Amino acid sequence: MANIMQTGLSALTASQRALATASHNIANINTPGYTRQRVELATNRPESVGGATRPQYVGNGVSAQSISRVYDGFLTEQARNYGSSVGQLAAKDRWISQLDSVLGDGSTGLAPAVKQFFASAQDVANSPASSPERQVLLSQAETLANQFNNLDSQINVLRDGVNEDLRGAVTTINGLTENIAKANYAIATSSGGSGGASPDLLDQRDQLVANLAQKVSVSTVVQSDGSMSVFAGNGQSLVLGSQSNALETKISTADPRKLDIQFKADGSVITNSLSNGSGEVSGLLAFQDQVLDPAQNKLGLMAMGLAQTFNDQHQLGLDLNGNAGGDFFTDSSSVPTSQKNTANTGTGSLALTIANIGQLQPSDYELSYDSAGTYNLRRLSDDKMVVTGSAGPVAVDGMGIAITGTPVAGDKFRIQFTRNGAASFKALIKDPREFAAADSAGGIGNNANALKLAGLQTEKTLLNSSSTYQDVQNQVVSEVGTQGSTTRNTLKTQEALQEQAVQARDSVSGVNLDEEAANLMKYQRSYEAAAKVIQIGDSIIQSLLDVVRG
Amino acid sequence: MLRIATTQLYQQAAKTMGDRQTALFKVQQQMATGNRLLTNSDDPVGSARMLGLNEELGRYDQYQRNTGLANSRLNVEETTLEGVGQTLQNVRELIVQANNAPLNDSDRRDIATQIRQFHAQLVGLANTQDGNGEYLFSGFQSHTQPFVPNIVTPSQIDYQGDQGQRLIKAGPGLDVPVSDSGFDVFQNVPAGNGSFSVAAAATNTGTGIIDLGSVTNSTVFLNHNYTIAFSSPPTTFTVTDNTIGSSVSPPSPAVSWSYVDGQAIQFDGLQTAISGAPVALDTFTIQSGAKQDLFTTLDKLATALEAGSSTPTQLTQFNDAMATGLSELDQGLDHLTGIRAKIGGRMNALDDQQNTNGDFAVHLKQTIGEIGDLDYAEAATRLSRETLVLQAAQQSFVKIQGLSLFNYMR
Repeated sequence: MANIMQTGLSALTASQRALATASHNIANINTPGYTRQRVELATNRPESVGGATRPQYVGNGVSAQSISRVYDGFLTEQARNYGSSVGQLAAKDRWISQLDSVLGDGSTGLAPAVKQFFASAQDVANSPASSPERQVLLSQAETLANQFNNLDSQINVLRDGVNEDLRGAVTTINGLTENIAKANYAIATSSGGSGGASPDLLDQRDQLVANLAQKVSVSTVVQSDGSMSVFAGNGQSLVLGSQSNALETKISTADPRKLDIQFKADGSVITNSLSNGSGEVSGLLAFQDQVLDPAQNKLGLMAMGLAQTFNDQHQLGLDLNGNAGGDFFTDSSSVPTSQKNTANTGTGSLALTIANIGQLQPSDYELSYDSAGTYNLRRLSDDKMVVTGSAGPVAVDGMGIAITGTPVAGDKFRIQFTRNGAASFKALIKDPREFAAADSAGGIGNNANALKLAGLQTEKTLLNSSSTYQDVQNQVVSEVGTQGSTTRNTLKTQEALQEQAVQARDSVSGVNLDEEAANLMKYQRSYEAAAKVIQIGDSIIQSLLDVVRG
Repeated sequence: MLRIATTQLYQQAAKTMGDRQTALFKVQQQMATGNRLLTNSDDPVGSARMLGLNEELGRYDQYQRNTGLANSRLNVEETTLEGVGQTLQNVRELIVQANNAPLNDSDRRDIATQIRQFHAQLVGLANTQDGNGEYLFSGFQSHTQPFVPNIVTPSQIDYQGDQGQRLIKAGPGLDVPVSDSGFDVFQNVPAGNGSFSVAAAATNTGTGIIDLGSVTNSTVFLNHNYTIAFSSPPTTFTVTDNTIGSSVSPPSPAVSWSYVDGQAIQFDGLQTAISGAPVALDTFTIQSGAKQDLFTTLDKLATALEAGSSTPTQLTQFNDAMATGLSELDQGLDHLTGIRAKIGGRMNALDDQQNTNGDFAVHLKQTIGEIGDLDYAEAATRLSRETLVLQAAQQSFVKIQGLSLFNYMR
């Protein structure tokens, strides 16, 4: 008889658990990363009656074995990995579209300034003796210089922004890995083993890892104590059990305008390994190295090329005072820079000269010394080894590189030949009379040199006689635009895939309100029935008592 | 059957409606600006092409400005040269008049005075300035007065300019000259009969006068310089080719040149004649390709008219000077016609180029429009389609999200 009461009570408890779980599911319907929970019911061990020879088993009610997550590890990991791809592409896309709008649509900015500068050179050619036309030419030269300088400083603002994002991402990563480590500790200590930990804690950790994956692609391994180790890049551990390895940013040894990402503890640099993966960090690095640097190098080349070819022709002419033309724009020879890697131990340094402006390539270069005491010059735009040798000077790609001092094995130099071209571009001539419109024959009405100068606009002077000045800018616009549209299209695809993965996971793990409503009703009914069982059990006992009393 | 989590319903709806709103925003922006391309990444190749095309269009606009300017400069030059031609024509009429009519010395001096006035007028025309105060005919020295009287000999007009010729860019491959130097226009005029000029040596004591002459056979004409020197006695003479330094033989079978008053002397494709009575050692020169400026031509005519012509010798000299002067005036007029024809040719070329430039600019604008301009019909269709889809998404979402089992739990 007591059995009935016991069984009823077990059903009451089980229904309560189930009702509580349904309520929990409903309550957390909008919690990110929440996995719906389910009460696993099982019958209690039956009571054996009738002795050992003919045993009969009387059911002994129900119990909630466990409350578990409806969880598919594969689907969760898949959604997380797509999150990495989307994080990478979204960062890249965001920055490319900013660069895209900095470059403009051609109705404002650099292109009209180039156009107007050369148009005013033709106006001078039309009236070489007239002062107003000369004055306008000088003003247009100023405007052109301003446009180059503005564009370059806007690019540098973007560069600073990317660095800011990188710092922010690293801070976020550190916060996440610290919390994952804490969750690991809680999981390992609460359960003493896998599977027993609170589902909500596991959800929270999964969510932390998913958030981390948006910043940097990770791989995970669950240890026997239930803690999850997290690895980034080429297997560098961010979280090991309850221990997290913090990252930090540091100014790059190779390029002071860039940041390196390294482990705080031992200072080992993982920038390259991170940029090969996915996640926001990789997107930021990719934008910086594959979009921003080439664009700035190309605009620099355009500015250097325009300044130098214009100066060269200008110097062949005579100005209104009968003097040979001077530098119209800033001389480009001071533009190329080389940076000694801060880790260098030798005394070597580089001196750069422009050997042939028409052969320059819009790329950075790395000159490194190997153990045999020879240098390797690597062009970074296409990652090609262009020259190997043991002594200078080096002449390649229109550059002249003289090596002084004694570099030793392992020393590295970063050469940025055209990077600062647009920043350095300035108009030098202030007196309209100093514009050399005349050729060497002279004469106030002589416009022969002005015609030649104006004609430079359409001459293919750059990139091995393949491009005019404007062509170079067009290439920048089309390259950035192409990278933008490629990134955007890939992003769309990845977002769709991510959405599918999230849906696949949600269709397993997400809460459905109708389902929960049905569960509520189901367990409400079973609760009512169990109560009835207890009532009946009670009335049976009452009947027995009545018999005894009677 | 796929299980659906309730949040999926909301997320999906939010995403699709968001996508549609983005599309609507884009079409609205396109319709407001009229541009098909809102960012370079919308069509990278098209955007880069637009940049190139706009630069090209800018160049064609500049070419049109250049040709306009070139045309107005050439017009000024043409008008000035028309005046120069008229002046020479007037002088020519006076000379014809002076040659034909029986005039006395006083009449001739009157004509000389008129010619001196035309001379001054010619100098004035040669010093014409354009609207910017630049001299038309001083080459590159456009702020230097090109023609000024010589300080020692005021009747001689010296050229102060150079031979520079200003070019203007009229098109991608067309540089058009927009000036002619004073040297080319006024100085570099063929003297004599246009092929060679003849002169009697100043030291001659006889009355021999050499005829203007002409080229009779241009295929054998050598463009050389010659001296005709009278022997003693002056019944014969020698002809020396100064250019190659050898004597010229008379036509066979004669072995030496014999002098007959007024008889044609022919050699090396040219012909001249000497009349009057030259004496021994008198010499005459023939110079090929000689040039003389227009001012000298007029000055020589005036000087000849001012000299008396009472003696037969003077009369012969006068007649000869008139004939030479007339020929040189004709050379001047021909020369001028040649230059004016060149200017006309340039102006035609400019007109053609202006049309070509205009056509090309229209073509460029059209191409730019095709790449960058919005097709409003297409955009309007897209607008209504996107609106419809968004409305449908909103309505269906509202319907579906209202369906819940909880509605029935009382």
